[in-house]
Amino acid sequence: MTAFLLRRAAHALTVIFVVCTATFALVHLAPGGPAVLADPKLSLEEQAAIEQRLGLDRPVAAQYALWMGRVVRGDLGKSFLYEVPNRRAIGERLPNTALLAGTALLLSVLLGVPLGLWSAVRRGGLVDRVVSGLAFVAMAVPTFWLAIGAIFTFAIAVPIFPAGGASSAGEAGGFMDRLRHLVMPAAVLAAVTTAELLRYMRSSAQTALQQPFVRVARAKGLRNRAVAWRHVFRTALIPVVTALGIQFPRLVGGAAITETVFAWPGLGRLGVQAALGRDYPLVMAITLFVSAAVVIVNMLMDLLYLWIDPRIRLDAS
Amino acid sequence: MRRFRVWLLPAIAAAIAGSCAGEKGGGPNALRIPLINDPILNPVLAPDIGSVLINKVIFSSLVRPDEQLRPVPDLALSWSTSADGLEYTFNLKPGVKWHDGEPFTANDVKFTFDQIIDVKSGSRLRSDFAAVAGIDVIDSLTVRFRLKAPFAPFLALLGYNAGILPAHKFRDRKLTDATDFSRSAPVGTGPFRVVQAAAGSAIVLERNPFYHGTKPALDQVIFRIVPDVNAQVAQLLAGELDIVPIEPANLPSVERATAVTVVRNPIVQHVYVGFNQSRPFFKPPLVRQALDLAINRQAIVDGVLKGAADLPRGTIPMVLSGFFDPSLPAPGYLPDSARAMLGRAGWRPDERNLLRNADGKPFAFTLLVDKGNPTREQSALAVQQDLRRVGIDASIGTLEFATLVRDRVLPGDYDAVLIWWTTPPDPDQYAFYATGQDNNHVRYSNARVDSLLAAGRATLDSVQRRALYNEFQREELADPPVLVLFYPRELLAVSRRLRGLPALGLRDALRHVERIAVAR
Repeated sequence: MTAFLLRRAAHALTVIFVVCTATFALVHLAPGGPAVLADPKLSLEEQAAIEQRLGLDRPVAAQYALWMGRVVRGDLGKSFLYEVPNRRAIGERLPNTALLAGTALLLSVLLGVPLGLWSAVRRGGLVDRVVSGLAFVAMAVPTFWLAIGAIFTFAIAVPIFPAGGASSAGEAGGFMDRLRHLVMPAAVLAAVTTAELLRYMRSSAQTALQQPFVRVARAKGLRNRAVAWRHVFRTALIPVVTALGIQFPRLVGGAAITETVFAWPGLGRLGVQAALGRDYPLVMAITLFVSAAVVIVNMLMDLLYLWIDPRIRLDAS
Repeated sequence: MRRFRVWLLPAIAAAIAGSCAGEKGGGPNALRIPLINDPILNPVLAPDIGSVLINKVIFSSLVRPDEQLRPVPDLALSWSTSADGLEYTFNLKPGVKWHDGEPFTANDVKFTFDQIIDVKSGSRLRSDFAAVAGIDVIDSLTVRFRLKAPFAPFLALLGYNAGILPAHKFRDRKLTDATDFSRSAPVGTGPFRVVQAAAGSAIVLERNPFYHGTKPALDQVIFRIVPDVNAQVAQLLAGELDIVPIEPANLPSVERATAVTVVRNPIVQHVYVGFNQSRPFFKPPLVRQALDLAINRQAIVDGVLKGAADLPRGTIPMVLSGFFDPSLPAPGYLPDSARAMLGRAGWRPDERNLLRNADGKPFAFTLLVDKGNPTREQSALAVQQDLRRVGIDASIGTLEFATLVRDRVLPGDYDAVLIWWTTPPDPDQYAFYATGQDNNHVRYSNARVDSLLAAGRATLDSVQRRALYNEFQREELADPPVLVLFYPRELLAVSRRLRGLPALGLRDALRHVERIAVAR
């Protein structure tokens, strides 16, 4: 177990290092420069002063070495756009991202897994047809459109929910207030993940249903529901857990569209704005943070496999 | 059990939905405005328009523009100018307090401008005040500015973006290190003070109890961070925002709404096609005069801007009525004259009706425009089509604004660019159109214009100044520095519950936020 964890940790550090180095190279190679310098009114002297203050007057390799040195010491640098330490910028957004992504993930597991199982067991039935149809719609419709559609329906035509934000500005933002703001973005964000989990669950449950142990269970005279939950469910869960691991980075770093349309103050939007504004230190800090989170979650997923399926053994590898 | 859960769901939804129904109705006694990003709450460091907007209600300046955009007293009660125009002495309002209760004094003014003119402070206002040689504190309520040369735009610039900072908050730290100040806890003397700043979400300001001017009618001003303009419009329609700057393309969706009205306020801006005059094509004034006649501006104003713009007469916007000569003719659309003039400049049509010079080179170039703004992209297309009609082959290149400015416009690496200048409420355009200036990206050079613009910024007498700028406007007809397309108006979608919004662009209107009220 210890050897496994150490090996995975070394692997994780390598992945993070490669991702960060590649990102650093990419953001500096991209055309244009920091938005703070893109003011047609800046004189050459002012431009030079800003570049010097932000450390942009050094060669890219030197900037990289400097950045790496700081990261090793736990310093994520300071944002160009916001003039705040990146650690603070990320910290301010993290709870919102955790809330939105966590809710969306929970919703999609609670809906996608049982519905996928049901669709597999009663294949071709009414539930299967309706649910599969909805899943395809959810996957096909662009998130932007879904989000704007939700706003026009539930915030303007039938004003049940607020059109955006994470709480009512100017108020303390009680639990109910936060919940009302959470419903639409979480539902939109969960739509695609639910659909994908459902498809995974359906197909892997179908595979499991054809296994000999299911036939044995049926031969014992077990009822359909008992077969589904006791025998098929756990077996079918492995690919779904893998799919969840893939969804995670998308929910943390990639919810930018949902966050933008619903004005949700999350990490994804911060990342997009940092990239558009060529806020190099902030882009790097977010990359580092998200890649570390993904690697850690993947390690947890590996451990989760052990719990789900006792047939998997670490020392076998 | 199962049945119970099913009916519970709608019940929960109804409870959630109902829990905040009381918030609707007349809405709070607050003005709610969107920003696309978290602002920097320090007027000296603020680089973007969003920060500029919010800083206008937090920080007062020495003077502010009135509805005719003339400087009137704000933190300064009165001022006098020395006969040579080199010294301005300001008498400050007594008894003014900062948001934290500390007294405001002449030291704060000196501190602010020392920072502004220091190239190392991170100041974004340095070029506005390059003429300032130094600031002297005469006594706690009197401050004197020494200028390097007479500088007529000085007062207008004082009232533009130069909010005064509290010296006592920066005793032992640089402006750029005062993160808490710029992010969440600024201290100003303006009508509203920050009480809550949630990153990426909203900044809530409440009425400043110490405010030195008229007591504001609003309890709160709330700036909500909403990055997407469609989402901003949706929030306006849902009654969650009160003022949203929109694009002409958004007009249909807001014009249908009964709770919203659209205002079209003039702003100090000219949108133009700049021709890089270090390129031989664009060097001769005759060619630029011809190009000026080749564009159907009325069609662009009607078709692309849906009427939200005025036809230009040179580079000085019409809204500067104290300097603008309205008697000059609006530019005509005369493609035949344009072709004839281009012929005189040596450009003859070939068999495909494309203009070529004596060397057989076609009149072809790339017109750059920033990506993502439909109004400007469509204007560029219209310009391209009009130019094609007189035999000029312009291809369009779109680049992200930051890339466009930094990689192409500033180094002068372009043929033509569709871009704009937003200026302080003053006609001084020396930095843009005088020979060899940093902001003269089109590399325009005209000795007569140089001397007119130099005299214009050095002349304090407003009658003489007006004559100089009117002369400049006439000179521009003969030798246009840029092809001015239009003077845009700012399209604001405004909730009908708002009262007292001055008929100015938002950045100037917010300087009078204490007059804005909401119907309850």
